[in-house]
Amino acid sequence: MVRLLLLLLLFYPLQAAAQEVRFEASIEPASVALGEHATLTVRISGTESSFPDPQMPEVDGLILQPAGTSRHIEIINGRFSSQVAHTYLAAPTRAGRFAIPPFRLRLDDTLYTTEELALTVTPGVSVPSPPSAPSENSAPAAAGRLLFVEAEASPRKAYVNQPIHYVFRLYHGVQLRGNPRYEPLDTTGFISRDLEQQAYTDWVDGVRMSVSQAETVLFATAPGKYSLGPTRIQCEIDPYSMFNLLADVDTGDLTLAGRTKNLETRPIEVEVLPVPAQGRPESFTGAVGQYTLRGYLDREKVKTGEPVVLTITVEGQGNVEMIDDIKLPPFPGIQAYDTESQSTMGDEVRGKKTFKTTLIPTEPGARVLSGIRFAYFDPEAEKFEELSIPDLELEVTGPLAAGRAAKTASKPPSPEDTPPAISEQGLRHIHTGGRLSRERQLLRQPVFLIVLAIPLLALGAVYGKEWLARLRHGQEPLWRRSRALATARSHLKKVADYAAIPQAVHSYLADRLNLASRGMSLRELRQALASRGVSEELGRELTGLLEVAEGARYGPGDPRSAAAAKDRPAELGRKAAELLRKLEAVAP
Amino acid sequence: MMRIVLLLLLLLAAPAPAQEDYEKANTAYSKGRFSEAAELYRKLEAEGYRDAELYYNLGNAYFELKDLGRARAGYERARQLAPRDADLAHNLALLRTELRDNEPDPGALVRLAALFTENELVFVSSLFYFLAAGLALAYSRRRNEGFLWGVAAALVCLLFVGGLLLCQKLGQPGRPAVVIPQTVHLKNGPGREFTDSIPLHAGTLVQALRQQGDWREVAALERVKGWIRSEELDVLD
Repeated sequence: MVRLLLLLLLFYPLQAAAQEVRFEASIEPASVALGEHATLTVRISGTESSFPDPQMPEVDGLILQPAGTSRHIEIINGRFSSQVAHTYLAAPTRAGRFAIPPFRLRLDDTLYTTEELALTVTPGVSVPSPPSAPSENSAPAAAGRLLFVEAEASPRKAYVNQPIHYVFRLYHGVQLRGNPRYEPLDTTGFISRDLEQQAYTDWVDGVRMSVSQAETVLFATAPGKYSLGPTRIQCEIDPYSMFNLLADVDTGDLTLAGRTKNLETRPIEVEVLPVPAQGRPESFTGAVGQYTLRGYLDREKVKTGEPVVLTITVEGQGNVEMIDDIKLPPFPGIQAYDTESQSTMGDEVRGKKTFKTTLIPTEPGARVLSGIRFAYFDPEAEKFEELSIPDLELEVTGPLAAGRAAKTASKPPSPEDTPPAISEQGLRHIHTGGRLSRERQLLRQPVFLIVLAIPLLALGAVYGKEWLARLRHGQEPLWRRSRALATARSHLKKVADYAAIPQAVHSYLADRLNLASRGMSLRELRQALASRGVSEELGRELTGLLEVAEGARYGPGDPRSAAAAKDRPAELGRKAAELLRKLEAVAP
Repeated sequence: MMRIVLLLLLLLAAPAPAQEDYEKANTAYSKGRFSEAAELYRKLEAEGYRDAELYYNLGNAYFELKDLGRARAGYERARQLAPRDADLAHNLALLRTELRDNEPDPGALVRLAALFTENELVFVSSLFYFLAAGLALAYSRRRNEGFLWGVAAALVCLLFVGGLLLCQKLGQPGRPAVVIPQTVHLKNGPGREFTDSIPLHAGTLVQALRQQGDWREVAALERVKGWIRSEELDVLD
């Protein structure tokens, strides 16, 4: 890819700008253990199209080995700039502090130098863990390939239960189609924990490559020699990617695109040592790592027989899930019961395990819980460490626990224990002579519940009626108005003589239309009705009916039609009711 | 008519089969045949008899048989019906001295409520309720302020007695229950596969909480919760 870009540059006229050269060096990390290596990078940048290689200094006890060169060229608005990075691996052969003299670069009779670099090498215990050599299918990038894998394990010599980091990386400078099929590491003999996968880019021999990294933490369960891997992966190279075509030209691998590639790492040998048998503290239960210990009681003051919970937390780096119960020493006057534990692991190889034990004091007095210890083996320091919780104070009040508390304090109860003996003369005799009954709960008797409801109903009736009356009184006009037709029809239905008809009609007009019609002439009444929106025809019908009723009431009777006359008020009443119904419909 | 009355009197006078069994059980107990007595008492209980004396005697029979769990259950049931019975209080106190687990103090109000039966509290509450309702009705007839004060006083009394009743029914987190086996380990979950928690012993009063399959969660010794098989527990309804 870089070569192609260099070729492209030939087609552009170059105008050399003022000579601007930067020459600098850096090393990372600045401190390594013996057996590890640091990466030293020398960067040259400027407007030249090419730079000579820098002169490498010699350092006693440090091997500097070239590990590749990367070039980067930019043309922005016709302005040319380039950058070259030379990478060296700095491998110390002894511990100590190294001063790496400046690198030199001679360019057009000008000598450029970098600053002096420092590297500290500690004796350490780390075992060198260079990247595993790729297999046939996974040639390294140095060989000019754009797709390869590597794996590394650290440390390669570990103790049982010590975390071993196994890192697998897939480098690809070509576009892949779909997700590669990853065959996980065989972790037989280990407890494994996969950490979060990472994806990033990295420069390898001047080529920018995508890196997919999978990391697994392994805890060996038994000593011995183990082989980690090979780890296999299958990827398909995208045949349609222009990028891949260009990449093929660069690498000369014309058959790369569109092919499925099977890659695998070489197995890595690791040696697992047993935790030393000598110097093991009594409280050691197999924990390996670096931990802290703390504990507390949920109460400081209890009565005899009351439970109190002792919480112990172990936290730190290592496989906390493998930590067994913490052995508690005997606490005089306190019965300790079984322990519950709960562990949580963090993102890294850190975790926390909490042990909760129920304690029941059986004797009163000031109690001190001491001697709670936890030991672990520190693989880095290669020695055992023992932690202890500061004394916990518990004040126990009250009498001795009931029954045989004192006995149970020294010996855990078991199902085989016989029941306690009954006092010789304490038990009082049975009751006799009574008649058996089936005493029932009152609250479950329906009759009782019904009786309970009676006062509520009575109160509701009395106060409800009172409330309604008060409501009616407070809204009398509205009440009368709403009830006007019903009242008038009720009166007209049982009308016995002509006098009742005008009375009912006038009452209706007063209630419904708020019209004092009793003293009005029929003409005035018609006018008043018209002013309230009642049609003239309906007004005339109503006044006509009132005229008939008043006439019949005060006019001379016809003895021949006495029987017919008896029926006429009822008929007239029905007519009046019909008229009032019509009036109701049109009244405002 | 006279004949019918006589027949009814004869029927009432004749001992019912259950009563005969009860007397047989009492006789068996008096003669030291506690197992037989306990069986007969249990039979009567299964027939639906809910009697303080029956439960007391049943508790005694089991106490004699050294079955503290069932004895405690009998006494507790008797106490619900006759909470102020002196003999019962004595025997229950005696049984408590034999218990191996300490039970928490339920609190003054619950202890006060336990001095009365549920029916007593319901009855007295009802009396105050009727009194308050009657006074309120009287006030509707004659607007005398004295009636209102009477209503207020009756309601205060009703609240107090009703509160005791609530304490009795709801004062504990669950339903009272008695541990039956001599020793049983609470489990940390509803199954044998869960780890053991603290052990409980026969006769310990616990609070029965939720049920899950054949397992029941209980609150014991004030602050400890765990699971126990339902058959190892006698829940006092």
